Amino acid sequence: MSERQFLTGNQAVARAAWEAGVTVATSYPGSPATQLMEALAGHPGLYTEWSASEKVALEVAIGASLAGARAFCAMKHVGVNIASDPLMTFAYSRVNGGFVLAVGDDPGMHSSQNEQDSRTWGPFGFLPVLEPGDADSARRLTLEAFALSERLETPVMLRLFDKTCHMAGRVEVGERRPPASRGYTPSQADHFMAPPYSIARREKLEERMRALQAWAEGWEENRELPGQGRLGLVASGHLALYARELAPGLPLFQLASVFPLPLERLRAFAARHERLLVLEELGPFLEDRLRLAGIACEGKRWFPDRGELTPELIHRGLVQAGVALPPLPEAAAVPAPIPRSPMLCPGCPHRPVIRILQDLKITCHGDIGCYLMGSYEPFSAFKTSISMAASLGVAMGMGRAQQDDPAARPPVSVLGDSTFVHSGLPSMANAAYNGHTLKVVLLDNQSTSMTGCQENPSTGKDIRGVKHRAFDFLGFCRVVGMEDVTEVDQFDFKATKAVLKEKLEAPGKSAVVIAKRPCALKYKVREPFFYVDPDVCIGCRTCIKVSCPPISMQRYAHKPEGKLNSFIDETQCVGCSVCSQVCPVGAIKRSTPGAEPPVPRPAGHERKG
Amino acid sequence: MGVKNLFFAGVGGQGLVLSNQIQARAALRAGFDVKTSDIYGLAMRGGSVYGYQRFGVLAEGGVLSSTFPAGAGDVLVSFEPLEALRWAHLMRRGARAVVNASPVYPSAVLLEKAPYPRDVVATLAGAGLEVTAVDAQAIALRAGSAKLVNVALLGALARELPEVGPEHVRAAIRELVPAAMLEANLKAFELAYAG
Repeated sequence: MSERQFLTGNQAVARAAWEAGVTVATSYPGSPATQLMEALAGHPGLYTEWSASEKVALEVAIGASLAGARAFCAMKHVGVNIASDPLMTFAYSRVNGGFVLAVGDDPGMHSSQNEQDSRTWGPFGFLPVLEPGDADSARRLTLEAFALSERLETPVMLRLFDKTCHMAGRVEVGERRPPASRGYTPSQADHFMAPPYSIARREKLEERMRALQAWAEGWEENRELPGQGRLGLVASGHLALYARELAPGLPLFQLASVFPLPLERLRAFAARHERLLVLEELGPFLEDRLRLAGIACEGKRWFPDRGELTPELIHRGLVQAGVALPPLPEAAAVPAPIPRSPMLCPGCPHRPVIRILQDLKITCHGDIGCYLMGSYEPFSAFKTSISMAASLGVAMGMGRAQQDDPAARPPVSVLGDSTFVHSGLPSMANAAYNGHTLKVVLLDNQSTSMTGCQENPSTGKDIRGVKHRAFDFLGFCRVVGMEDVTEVDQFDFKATKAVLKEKLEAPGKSAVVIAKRPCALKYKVREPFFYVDPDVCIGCRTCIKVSCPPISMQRYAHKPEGKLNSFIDETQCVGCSVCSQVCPVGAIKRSTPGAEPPVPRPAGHERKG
Repeated sequence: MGVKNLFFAGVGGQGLVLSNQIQARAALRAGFDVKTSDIYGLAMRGGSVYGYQRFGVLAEGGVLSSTFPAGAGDVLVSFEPLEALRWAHLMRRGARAVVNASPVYPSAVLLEKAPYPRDVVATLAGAGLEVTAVDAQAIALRAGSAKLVNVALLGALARELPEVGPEHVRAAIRELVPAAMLEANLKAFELAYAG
């Protein structure tokens, strides 16, 4: 009897990896695939880790696979860029234990810096790419991916989307296949990927691609759903489900392998229809491959090649392409409201540092982490953001380009603990080796917060919370050649400002300043809240400019004609004290636990509860 | 009955994903097929967050897609008034809206660059929605913690979804909420369900 569980796509893939008998699984957190490894770490009988980077994650999984274990690796789409170095060459080798790499794409850039299309790794690296549409198919396809990987001795990529990772549905689950190592037999011909071995392996890839092509033709998950009409639709993943719902009678070829494609079956499907329409997110990947195979089709003529394809866009494209569909229902009409951008949390330790850097008017390069919000209103502290730890290299290059400009001050790199370990270590060595003047602000909040407060080398705790060894940032910076390394407590605003001003403005001298306060969210920081005395407040808005969610300007009932004064919502304030330190008149005070602050409240903000 | 389309709207940190999951488990317990879709990631930090939920009768084919097009929504559950305005276009005319009355100011309002919208309930009603305004924050504080806004809203939502039934929501709360917080969560649910 089959059992069903209600699982997200991420949980379903994790469940399948566990069922498949995976014994080593690795990842670096990144939305939309973060919860995949978190879910897998909750299963018994396997080793899981947050690796220091996607490249390390992939290499650890490769080692496990070579040893004969089933190995699994997960990352977001941009993680594959750094992991592509081992991936592109591992793909040449003969895979031993089943190896599956799950990749989360993010069309529309909900939480990513670009929307690159992971399908392109397929033809680029001779990798099969499988694409599920919902949580149930995610489980089935993951199981098939492991079987395929061992049968054809290939790494397999499982392509997920935010829409497949973060959806949830009923999933049929099964038992765990008892982990069985295939054993390790050393073989340079198969695993030592340098000439002459890699040249011979390149020849073998032709054989593997032919076998994969045959597999794709025969795989029942690539399925034709008959319908009426002269137009046939080709779609994969969640888009196929959208199409089935919007146009239930339309003949559909639902793809589960987006590389290689079952070209002969698609050719036959095309031959039975007057027109072939391709529905796919991002670029014309399927469309191009069909055309290359001599199969006439239409696609990007009707559907956008960027952003997320919503049901509305699919409906519009289908109608414009000539599919007769009932109109979508009339939507409630309301004026577009003001946007709501993410903000740093109340008590976030990044806030005072960002405020100070903004005030010092130094060109700062930002990086990947919560602190990128230092470039959103009211801040514009960071002028660039490219990729993990790129702030370091970018600052070095900009410093060299401006070295003869007497007005230029060395740019500052600002990055967090996890990002620093992920990709900053070689950059630091480069700075010392090449004699760059490097100014670094390291925001060590002991958390990978942007993706949900995961453990990382700064905490020294692994994915299961077991303490090993915390990374010594201060020691590392000194060992690598940085002589001037200072730690600060950024909740002492004035002292931190003095240190940053001195260290960052000093010409011709490298410096690292490490801000040590921990993440308020991860560590659930909650000190007695602060309140504003409206009779002391002069309405100058200095506190507002630290941009903290609880602080707003309000009209107080006892001052109906006067100017606005600031107000702190005590249900949100966690008591970091930064606003009270920037207040020029001492109007912001810490409350006493259990006692109501002795001040009036603004109109409309009467105390509840 | 066809597929019922719910939409949860709110602000990062309000516990919206958990609400969607509890409601989904309740619908499952009531015998429906269910799919949900949530937004995670960067939007967690005080940004606009949302989630879809669709449930339907298995024998009628269940639910294929986890999202629905604009105009197809049956019930909007908004954790915050401004967010109700943001997503009202997803609702059909005559859809129900359960809206928490407490605003969470976006940065543009905090920085005095834009006014917070007035009369949100009237605007929603003018667009053809049947609105129930809930002081979920007051209910949450009465139940013991401002964090219980999400479960208080599930209590108000349960009044709109008789086909699911409050007993299944209670069971789903027991299934998903940690034991230490269970009693307060159930209290928030009951206070809001009683109306």
